[in-house]
Amino acid sequence: MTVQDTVNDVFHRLAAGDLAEPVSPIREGWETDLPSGRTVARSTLQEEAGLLVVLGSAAVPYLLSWIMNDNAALRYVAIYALERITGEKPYLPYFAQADPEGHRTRAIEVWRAWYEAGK
Amino acid sequence: MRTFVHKAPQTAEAFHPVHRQPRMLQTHDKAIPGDTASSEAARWGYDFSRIPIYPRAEIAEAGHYAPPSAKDKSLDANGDDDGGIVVHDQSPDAGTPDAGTKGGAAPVAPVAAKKAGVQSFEVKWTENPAMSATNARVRLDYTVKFKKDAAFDPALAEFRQNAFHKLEVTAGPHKGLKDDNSPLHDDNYSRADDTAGNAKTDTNFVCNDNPGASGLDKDDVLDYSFTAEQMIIDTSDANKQIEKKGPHTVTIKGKHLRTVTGVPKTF
Repeated sequence: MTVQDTVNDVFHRLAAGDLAEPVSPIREGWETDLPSGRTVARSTLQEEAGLLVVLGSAAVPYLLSWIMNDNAALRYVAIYALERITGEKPYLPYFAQADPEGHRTRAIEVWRAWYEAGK
Repeated sequence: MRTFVHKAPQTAEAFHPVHRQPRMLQTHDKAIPGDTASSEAARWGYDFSRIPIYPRAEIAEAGHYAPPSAKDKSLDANGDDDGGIVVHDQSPDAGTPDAGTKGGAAPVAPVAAKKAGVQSFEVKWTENPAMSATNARVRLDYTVKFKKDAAFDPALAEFRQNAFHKLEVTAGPHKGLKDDNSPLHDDNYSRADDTAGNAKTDTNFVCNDNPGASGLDKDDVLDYSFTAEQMIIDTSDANKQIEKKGPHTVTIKGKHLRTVTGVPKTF
């Protein structure tokens, strides 16, 4: 299975509302809905993102497209994974549906530049 | 009113005939490997490296450029004041070559630096509506209104929360389960967590936290506590704390129906 397949599998599973076995019973943070309607906490999404973080820099190009997803939970998983992999944290409001100020585009450029610099 | 997008440098050299007429790529021009200018020329059909670039300060010093004074500026339609704004120059002679330079170099009006300010800040601790036999959680709701005027800029304000929890299941199917991440530490909240999607330039910030444990059994005897404090800091002043709520602690104890202390409480 390629890195691209692994990345997309995680997001497709989350979109369907299937969560990985929880690492901890502790739940923290805001809550939001997956596309399936299932409500999840920020800590749950961070656990899911952990499965992507372990893929390392090779996952970066495949995570970028998920930044533009309509669902805030899926966007957050991609953003959190990218922040952890790259160490770059551009300002990006997680719940803003529209992005008139272009924060997503600018963030993608930051992460793309990080990836290109490391190639 | 004109839209001020870019004011070209008015130096003598910038208006030299050689530079005023863009030199279009000629058919006999050949790209030289490794020559960036030639490569760019071949790519775009024009050698952009031929455009002289001057530091703005140098141009202003020479008396050819003066930034519009503060009174001549207005912000874009929604009044947001962040980087990348479009500045509309409202002076009658704005955009003309001599704008702002009549009678010598125009004095630059001193602009007072803006800072972060809070109009109102509320933290509400309540029992979580999702509380059940398997879910033991509380809820915190944060509501902040930032000041926005000539002296205050909401984009300079940040939200922070320091927190820790302690959990132990002392009896029941999950007996022995323990977790403790004390002492108080930054748990990575920021203005990016605004659940209403407000941008940093907006005056409002709303968010929430739903700390606790899930996946419990109704017979699990729980001993859980959560402590948190919330701060507003001014990023323009070395992250100086300008407002703070808490710290406050809630506890959830026993087996279903569990006892919650420390709620409701509003700061």
